[in-house]
Amino acid sequence: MYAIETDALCLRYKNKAALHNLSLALPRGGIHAIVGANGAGKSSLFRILLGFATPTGGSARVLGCDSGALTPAMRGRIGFVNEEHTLPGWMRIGELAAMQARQYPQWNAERYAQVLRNFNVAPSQKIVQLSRGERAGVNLALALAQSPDLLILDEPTLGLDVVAKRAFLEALLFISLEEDATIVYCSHQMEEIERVADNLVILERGALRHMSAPGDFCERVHLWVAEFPFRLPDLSNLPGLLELRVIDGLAHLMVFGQGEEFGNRLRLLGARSVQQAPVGLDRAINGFLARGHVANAPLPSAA
Amino acid sequence: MKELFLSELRRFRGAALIAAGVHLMLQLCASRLSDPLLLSWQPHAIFLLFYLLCGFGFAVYQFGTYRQPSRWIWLLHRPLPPLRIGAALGAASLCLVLLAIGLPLLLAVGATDLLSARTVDSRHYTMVLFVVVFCLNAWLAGAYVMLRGRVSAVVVVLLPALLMGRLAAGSGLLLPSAVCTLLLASLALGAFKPERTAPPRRWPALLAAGLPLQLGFYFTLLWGGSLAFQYGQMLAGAHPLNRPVAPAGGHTELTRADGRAAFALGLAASNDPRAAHWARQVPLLDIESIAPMTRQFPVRHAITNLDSTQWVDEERHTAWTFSHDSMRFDGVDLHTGAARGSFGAGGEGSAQPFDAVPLMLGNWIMTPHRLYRRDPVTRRFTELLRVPAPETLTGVPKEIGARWYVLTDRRLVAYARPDNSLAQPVRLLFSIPLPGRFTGLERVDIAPLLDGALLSFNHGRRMAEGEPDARQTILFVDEAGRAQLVADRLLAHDFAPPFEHKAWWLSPVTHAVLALPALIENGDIGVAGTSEFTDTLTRRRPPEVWAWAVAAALLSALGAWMWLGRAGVAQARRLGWTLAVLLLGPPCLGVLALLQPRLARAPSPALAGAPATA
Repeated sequence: MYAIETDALCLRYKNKAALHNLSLALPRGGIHAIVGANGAGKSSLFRILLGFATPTGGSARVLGCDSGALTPAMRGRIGFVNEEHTLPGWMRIGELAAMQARQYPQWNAERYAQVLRNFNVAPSQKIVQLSRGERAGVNLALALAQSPDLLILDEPTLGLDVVAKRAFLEALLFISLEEDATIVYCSHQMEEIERVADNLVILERGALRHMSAPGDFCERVHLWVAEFPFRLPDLSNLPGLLELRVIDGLAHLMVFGQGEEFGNRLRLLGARSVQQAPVGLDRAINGFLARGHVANAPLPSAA
Repeated sequence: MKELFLSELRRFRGAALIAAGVHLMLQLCASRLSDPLLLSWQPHAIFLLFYLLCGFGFAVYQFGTYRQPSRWIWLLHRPLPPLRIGAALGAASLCLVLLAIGLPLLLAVGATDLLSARTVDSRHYTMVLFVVVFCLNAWLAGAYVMLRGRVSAVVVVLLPALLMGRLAAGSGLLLPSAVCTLLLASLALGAFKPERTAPPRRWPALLAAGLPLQLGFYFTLLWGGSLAFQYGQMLAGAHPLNRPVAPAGGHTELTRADGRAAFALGLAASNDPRAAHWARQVPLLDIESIAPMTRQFPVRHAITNLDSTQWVDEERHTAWTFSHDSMRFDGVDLHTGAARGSFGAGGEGSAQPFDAVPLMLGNWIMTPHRLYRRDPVTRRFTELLRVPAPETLTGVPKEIGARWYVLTDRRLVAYARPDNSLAQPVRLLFSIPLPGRFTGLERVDIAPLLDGALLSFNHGRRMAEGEPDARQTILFVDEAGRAQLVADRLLAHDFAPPFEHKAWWLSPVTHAVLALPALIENGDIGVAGTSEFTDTLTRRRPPEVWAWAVAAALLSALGAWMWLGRAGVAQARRLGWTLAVLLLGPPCLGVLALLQPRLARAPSPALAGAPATA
């Protein structure tokens, strides 16, 4: 059974497609990182998954339940944290925690205290008096204390300092490992994803572009550096090309899913020397997403 | 639920306390400057509008923040049914309305009752409840508008005004108020779901959401369409009421004509051999007119006042205020504020209650069936005349020549003019039954002759609202009081029949439903509640108007069918909606457009932006 399962999911806003035939299946357990450029459809996907938007086509299931028919009990099993960390500014931290504790049957007061300890806040403080980072800390503590089966985090660490971020990620790993919770983690912070994610999902313009373990993804993306002694040939039609840059007369090509034969192709095109180098996750994803950004050209299909 | 309720109270408790304090100060200030309880319904309506805006504005602010996507998720995504979350916020808001609006009002009324000799009736306490309910209904309407997120949803604010805007007794208004609150609550709570703009899934929820909107769209289309049409007529110079010369033979022409001209118009259509002689004689006569001075009497325990309930005896510095509880006037010394006794149907000091809530017209005091005269100098109080129920007086006597003419809702009655002392009872000379319905009576012109009088009855007042039998009737009444018909002509239509019957053909079913409040007595003269309701249902409509009704329904149904073609609904629902629109007319099409949004168009290849696979 999958924690999240979508089938040909579509969502249109007037003339814009936010999601386009998105078919995605995230198994239960582990941390699934979803990355994509702005407007890739991540937030729209979360809105549908939580039942706050109705898809214009396809279907979505969360923890085996149709996303449009989530019961209150099911909602209690799904945690959600958004990047704005929207909390009622008029309440005190203690009052808010007490309210949540009464509503969520699996409330874990110990974990709440443990996470909140990393932030310099007092229960008597009003939410409105908190800085963005402190508010994020409180929000994350509340979400983790709910002991959800599925936790959806949309850019949760924006605004957190290094120590708080580390504490939060540790807590995330803890509930993922100890409680077998499924965590869907959306972030632009690649070092975080590299550190915690078991599965990497790349969305582009509302469609699934790639899904694999982060390490596997990195292994499939390579940087080729080629020296062309004469005029640079037209390289745009090379298979798997994600990004092309010319630096100091050398062509830097970010390539997806190509083996040694790619070097031979470059040599056939007139390259005097060709070198291949591995890339980090950050660079690989950037390169992967850059294709869609810059050239508006077709991208490789989901791998 | 309890936590959300308390949370919402915490959110607004400071603002509510400040609002309550300011409100109380304003109430106290107003009570020092005048007596707000004595004001007539017009200023009360302005106050009510203010309270409506308070309730509506409160909801707009409250849900303006909640409806932001992230806040909405925070509020709704929790292990609680959305209905209970909505109920928690609603209960908290009711408490806040009670604190900021109800409590200061209650304190002001209670303080006036306990600490002064001013007249405070039980109806004034009902008024506090009514204001709170009105404010709550405005809050519900505002909540729905904000959650729905469509400007057209604002039509629901008409519902409280429609169902509760009657000068009826407070007890009579409790039922429509409760119905209004229930409808609006179901509407607002129905919008309390994660996907706010999604149409209600089940039919009961759809009906609950659709009914208030149907009424709102009905009036929006009716008034908006009427205004647009009339402005168009004005711009074209064709509006009957706006033209320098009124259309010939119509009600406007007759109403604009003075008495002489009115007789000339009527006599010109007469076959009576004496008509030509009277036509020559009329320009030389002193012609007077009599028209109803009121078309409505106050209802006992009404929450507001139709007119002033007080008169002042300047000589004795005493203000006499009518009490609906005791049905007598209570006196208060203007200088000291001390109580100065009561004034009943037998005069000052009398404990005899009036038979109904009276109207004060100068030195006259008039109840529906009795007319009293008080003499400010001698302080005599005399019952001058009475008419048998259910006949109702519509004004004080008009002195024309040696006669007093009194207009009731059934007759024109002539009395011999009494002497100034009014010591003797008035003597009836004759009475003429009205030749048409009182509701259509504009005025009666009276031309005294040597051998009697000519009477011209203008019965076209509600012609533009589709009331039938608009006519001018001229009668000759001889000295013995015998009436002879001289002329009777139907008035030509100033407006085309579809305009006159617009309220009906727009949606005959809605029109019938909206006639239901007529069953609540509000003192209208000449229209018993049941008869007005029955009349609305059974009134004859010209064939042309029927054609308009059928065409409007068919076109709306066609529009509904086409609209639903892109709404992605099941065939049964599409058929159901179309039949509903066929039955309920164009307003229901507006309801459909609001509740059942269409899906976005399928993308054109150029806009799709769907990347191809490598």
